[in-house]
Amino acid sequence: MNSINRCIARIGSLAATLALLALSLAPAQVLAQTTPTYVFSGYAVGFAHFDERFGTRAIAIDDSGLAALLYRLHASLTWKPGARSALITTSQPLVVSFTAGDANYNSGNIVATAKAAPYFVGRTLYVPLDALLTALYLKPVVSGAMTYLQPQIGSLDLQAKGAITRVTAFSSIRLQPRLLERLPTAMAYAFDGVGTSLVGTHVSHLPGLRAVTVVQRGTPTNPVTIVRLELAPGASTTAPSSDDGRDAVLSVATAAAAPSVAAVTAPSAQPASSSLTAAVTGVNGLNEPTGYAMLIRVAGNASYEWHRLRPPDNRFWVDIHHAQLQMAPADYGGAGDVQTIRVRQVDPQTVRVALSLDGEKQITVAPSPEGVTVMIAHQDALADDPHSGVGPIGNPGSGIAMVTPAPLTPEQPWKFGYMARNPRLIVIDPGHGGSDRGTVRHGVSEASLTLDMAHRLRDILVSRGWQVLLTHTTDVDVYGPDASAHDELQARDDIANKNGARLFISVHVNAFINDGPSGTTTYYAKSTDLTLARDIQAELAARLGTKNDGVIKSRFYVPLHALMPAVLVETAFLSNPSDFAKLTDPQWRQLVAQAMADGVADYAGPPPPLASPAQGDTP
Amino acid sequence: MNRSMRALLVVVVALIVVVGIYVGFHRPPVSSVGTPLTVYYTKTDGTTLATWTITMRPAAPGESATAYRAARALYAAVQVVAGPPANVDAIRFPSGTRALGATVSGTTAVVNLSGDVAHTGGGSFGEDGEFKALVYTMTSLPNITAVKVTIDGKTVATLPGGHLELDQPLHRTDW
Repeated sequence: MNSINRCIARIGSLAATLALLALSLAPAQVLAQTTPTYVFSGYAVGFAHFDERFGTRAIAIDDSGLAALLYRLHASLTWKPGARSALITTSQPLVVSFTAGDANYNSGNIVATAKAAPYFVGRTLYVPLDALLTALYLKPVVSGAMTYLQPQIGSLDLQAKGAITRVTAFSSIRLQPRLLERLPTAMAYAFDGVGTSLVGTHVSHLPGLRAVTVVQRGTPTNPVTIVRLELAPGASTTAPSSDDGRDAVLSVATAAAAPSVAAVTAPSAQPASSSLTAAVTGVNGLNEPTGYAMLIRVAGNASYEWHRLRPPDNRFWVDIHHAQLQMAPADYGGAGDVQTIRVRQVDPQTVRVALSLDGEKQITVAPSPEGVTVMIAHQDALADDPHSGVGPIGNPGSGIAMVTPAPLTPEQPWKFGYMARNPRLIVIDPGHGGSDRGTVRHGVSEASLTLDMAHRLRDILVSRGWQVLLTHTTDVDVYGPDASAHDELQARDDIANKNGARLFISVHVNAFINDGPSGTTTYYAKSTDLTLARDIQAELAARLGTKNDGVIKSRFYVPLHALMPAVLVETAFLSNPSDFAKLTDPQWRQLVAQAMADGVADYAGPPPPLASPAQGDTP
Repeated sequence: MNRSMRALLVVVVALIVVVGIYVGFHRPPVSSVGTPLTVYYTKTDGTTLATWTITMRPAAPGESATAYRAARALYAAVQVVAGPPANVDAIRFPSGTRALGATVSGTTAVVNLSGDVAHTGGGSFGEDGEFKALVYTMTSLPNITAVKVTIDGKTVATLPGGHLELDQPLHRTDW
């Protein structure tokens, strides 16, 4: 009987153990309905905490597989259990933020929308996998029984800097362009191991570059993206390179994805613009009961392309390609739905009509016998309204090519290229001065240091042939003693704006409430400032021996309200003992001036000859 | 009751206890006691944002939606001005700075800070980090996309001797 009892007891214990085991596994069964394994760069990536609801697959933000993937991508995650928002800093670097309950997510300055909003399971945030992979420039590609996370060229930025046009590709991994084809009119590069969703032809109106064609070849496991540059006659290329390490320095821990750059040099003498077939002869507007109607009068054959920014930035513009402006550049103030209208020739072949709207309005753009009509309705745009479009003007058979507008990027200039009336003039603003001493430590004021460095920078630039204006040459207020902050700062911008300067550099000294922070930073406010900021910061970082705090965007008044490319340089921290010693050393301040001048040279090259006509300064 | 029956009873009781513990730990909460809010701060590298979470009380009986939105905005503003726990390395608003009030107008939160915010010690470093955290925090609230800052109830172009433009609403895209 005892043995029977022991047997019953053992069976009972076994049953209890099995029950416990079953209960402990229950949550895993709920969440791990399907746990497919992905392959990235030859490594298996297993996501353990999947969830499927709201019609999409989501992954736990603290999943160990995701952690391994982020590690391989040199990306980092900021999140803790229970937090509604998760921030992922990619190697670009780009900050991607997801927030519980919000299907919109930020990827840098771009707002994208996921199929479903992130949500909580317990205290763990679950994020839609598709959106997460897209933000990381990865695309799941199924091949056989496996799903490969294929690295993508996620953005392709075209920027002009003087006579140089730069094509910059960004991906989740380091790009290594391989020369595929070299012709007098075209260059083709292969990017092994990456795919892209940017397939197509993107027409360029930038110097030396007519178009960029992107195709994808290869297999899911070994994709190849081919980027072909169609060159303007006489244009030449330089060897592709990584962006000289500056971006890598900005993302010290995640430098694997330094951008790859191909440069195209424009011919020194632009050929006559024989392809122009149209003229923009006028812009007329009319308030109607349903909204504002605008007619852009175009004579001849051309094409148009329009874009609108996403709220809260409610700007909209139409480019008329292959056209010249045959009216005076115009600025109109408005009221109601349309606040301002500007008409400019932004490059030799493009006329731009740009509007600032009071809200995200419904917009209809259509060709008409007289040109292009734009209708801005009173009602707000719908969520799925288009943000860009193209169309023909005049005779569709005239040979004018239409292309799908490229997606906007934060780097893409949205507005008119600034036309410097005096392309030899650089305005330097010594930060603070007069009644505003700026930061003060141990009897040393920011105002006195910035004035000293500005004078040194002026001397170097003048010796190199530039014309230079200082916003103040002695330690005084620019507007006047005890003026409002607005008047004082605007007075500095006014000097640059009214004189049609090419560049504006505001020199400052940083400080903090304790002595911890140190280093050198270049701030910018507008997208048109970025390249100048990078060039100056690169020279400062290479020379000064201070901590490189990088290039930072902020809404600083002075660079924001300067019409031309402008930066605010914080040379070092007066509140940090090491930086203080440097700032109070005249030889070091000379180094600062030298580095800033070299940054200007990197950006703008030598000053134009005296007889040179005004040049566009489109970034 | 013989020993075998007692053993069986022990097993049954054990199972009941285990199941009870499991259900107790895993069942969803019966009701929520508040809404989580994300508060940002800027690390002392000057650029990196980090967050912590606070809980906002539910709307009180009879409290209008407008009043609740304003209360939530003020709560968030107070938290971001107070900053994370003292042992966290963060860019902090100058000592004495208070969020005096907050309202919501459309999709813009209007935050009124005390004049102490001007005592930054100079330099753009702290100013940039403080307002970046404020804007990220306020725009993480539902339906808020912009932040208008007033100082002691007045609109100012910048802080005295400051750098950041404050007379226009600030957005996340400003950083």
